[in-house]
Amino acid sequence: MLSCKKVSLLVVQSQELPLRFSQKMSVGIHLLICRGCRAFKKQMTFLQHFIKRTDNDDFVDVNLPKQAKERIKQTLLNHF
Amino acid sequence: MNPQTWLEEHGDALYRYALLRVHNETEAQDLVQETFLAALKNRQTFSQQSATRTWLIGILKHKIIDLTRRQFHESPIDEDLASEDHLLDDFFNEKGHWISPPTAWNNPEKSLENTHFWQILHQCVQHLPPKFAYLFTLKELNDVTNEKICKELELSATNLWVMLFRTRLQLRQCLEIHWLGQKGGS
Repeated sequence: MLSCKKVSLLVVQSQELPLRFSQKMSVGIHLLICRGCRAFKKQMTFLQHFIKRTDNDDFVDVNLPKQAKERIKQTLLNHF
Repeated sequence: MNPQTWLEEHGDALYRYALLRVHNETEAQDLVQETFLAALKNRQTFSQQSATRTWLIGILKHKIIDLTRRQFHESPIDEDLASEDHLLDDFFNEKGHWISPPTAWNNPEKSLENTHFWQILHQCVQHLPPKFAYLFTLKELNDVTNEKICKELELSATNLWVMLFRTRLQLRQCLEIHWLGQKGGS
């Protein structure tokens, strides 16, 4: 029987690497009986999904502040 | 192609890209400036086949990797976190059981709509021990492979996984407390 520590590490790894069949089985059995690890797995999926959305930069409503823009413009003009 | 219009056309997009990854406004602004300077210097090598935005983002990405790698190596090692054996002691007891088991999040998707998820995530990343925050940045660039991260940061694969695992555990806990307002962990 795997510990919660081991199972949750495998959960994190499984987001990137395929687990071996035996690992999948052990994790599956553990998840059936462990509410904490089930919650953890769900949250990791959620977290990964929403962090991935950073690729779509429209998602965040911030712009380069005016002052910074002006400063960068001056620097660029000096180097042009 | 006109470098003078670059800033107007791409400045905001580059800034957002940088800010979402380095979690620090001043650093993000500096990165944008460095990107434009590098682009200016290398504008002869720019092939019209790739869109200007894509080309600039490519330069920015390299700048972020360089900066993050440097910061990772320069940041001091936290005594408590120096030993891999104890890296997970805050979360699991000696038998490997959760010290404070995660509880289900109620409607995280709904909370996402009406709270500033990103601001909270930034704060939570900033609260990570520096080395872990820099690792998180590299990781979230997505196209940096684990092999490359291990090489750049001089970590073993096991090392890397334990650090990534701890980062997730800590972010999870921080989000639970500050974003969802649930009474989390210890």
